[in-house]
Amino acid sequence: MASRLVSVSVAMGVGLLVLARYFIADAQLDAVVNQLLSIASVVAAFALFLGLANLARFHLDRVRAHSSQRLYSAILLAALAATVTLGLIGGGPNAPWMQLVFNSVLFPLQAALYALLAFFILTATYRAFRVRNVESALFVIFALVVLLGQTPAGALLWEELPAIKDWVFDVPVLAGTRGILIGVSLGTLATGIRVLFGVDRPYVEETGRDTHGHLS
Amino acid sequence: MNETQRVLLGLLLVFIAAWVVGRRRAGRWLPDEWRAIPAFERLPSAIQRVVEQGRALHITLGRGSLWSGVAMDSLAGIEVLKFIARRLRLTGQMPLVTTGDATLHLLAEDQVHRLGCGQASGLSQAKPDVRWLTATPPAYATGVMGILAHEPVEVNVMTGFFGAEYLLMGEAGAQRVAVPLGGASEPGVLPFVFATSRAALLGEELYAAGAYLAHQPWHLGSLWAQDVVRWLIVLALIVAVLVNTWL
Repeated sequence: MASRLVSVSVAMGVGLLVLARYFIADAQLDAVVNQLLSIASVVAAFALFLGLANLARFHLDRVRAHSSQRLYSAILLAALAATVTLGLIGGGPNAPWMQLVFNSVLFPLQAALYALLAFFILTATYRAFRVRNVESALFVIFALVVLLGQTPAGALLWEELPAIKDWVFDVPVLAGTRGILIGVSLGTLATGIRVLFGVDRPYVEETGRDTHGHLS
Repeated sequence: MNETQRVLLGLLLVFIAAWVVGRRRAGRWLPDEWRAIPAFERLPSAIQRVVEQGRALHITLGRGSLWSGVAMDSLAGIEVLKFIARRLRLTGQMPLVTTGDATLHLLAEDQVHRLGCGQASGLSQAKPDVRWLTATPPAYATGVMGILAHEPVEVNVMTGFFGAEYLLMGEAGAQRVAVPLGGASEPGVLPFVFATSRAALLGEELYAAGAYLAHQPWHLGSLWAQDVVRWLIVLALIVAVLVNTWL
């Protein structure tokens, strides 16, 4: 109980201090908040170590258990060990060997994966273009207008189509995006305030609040 | 304090006042009066399906760091995770959880372990399975796609902060999983969510998990506050348009 009280008090105090800096210009407050943010960055760095430990443990377990995926796990562990070793003895992330790993292995693989997005868009569009209700009908109509409006063939079909496409972008799409952004901002504000005032306490054990764990 | 700061402080104070009033009204609200959010309505039956089939429920929480500007998306995802874990533990199961951020991984692991340890019945409890996949978006997507391809996943839930990699994971889920559910707040990602999910949480719906799933009074109060402030913003916009047009 006492530890929970301390955790909640510290979290609320730190949160309110960081929020206060946005509204109050004060050199001392700035210094305190900067110090707190430095502590947070150190904690985040340690979280990365723990994440790495979780990853290594999971794949080691898979290799030990002779899982059907053990070959991939072994490759992952070998690549992990090689990269960490290169980073440690080679002089950090900017060292030539590390740059070689990034430029010759990691970036081409990432680019190749993102290149697949075009095919994924195609299959997702095929599924989304099935008209199931009013929403999906509107989705299909607007998607077709934009698709045809972007291509020279659209202008050949109907010369007004590019102008309609521009109107779709400038009016309904922009209005919808702004509406979504206002809603998201308010949702973010609500979540932030609940954490700030200790209503949501993901960092401490919440006893006595589990009243909806029944199966419906 | 400049003009923007004054406006934001005013908005914050109005929101807090509306939140407290909304909290008092929360007890009088009935779930029937709320706007239906299909993804939240489907979630309990999806969990039941997982239990009946004896397969896994996979939830991935995105890659929003807890000390970044998108931390609230991650916390909203944690609310969904808590609901799923609470329901599943009653049957001795636990969800398979993946994240693409290390700080979020710690929080998710903590939540699932606490809920897993809280099981009091005589059922044998499954070990919590929370995995940090990686910190880079494409590799994170590949990790999730691998899980969906090789593990017996019946329901795939994706809530939190995502970028374009959502489509890679969402499409894999839509093709391989019986019930794909998803949610995101980024406008650029929403078409992907809509196209790949059976039911989607679009934009602000993501933050309503605590109110809709757990019926927590302070969460219901914040929904009411969101509505009040939204109407105030709409009124301000209309007044600004009228003033700029005729004055």
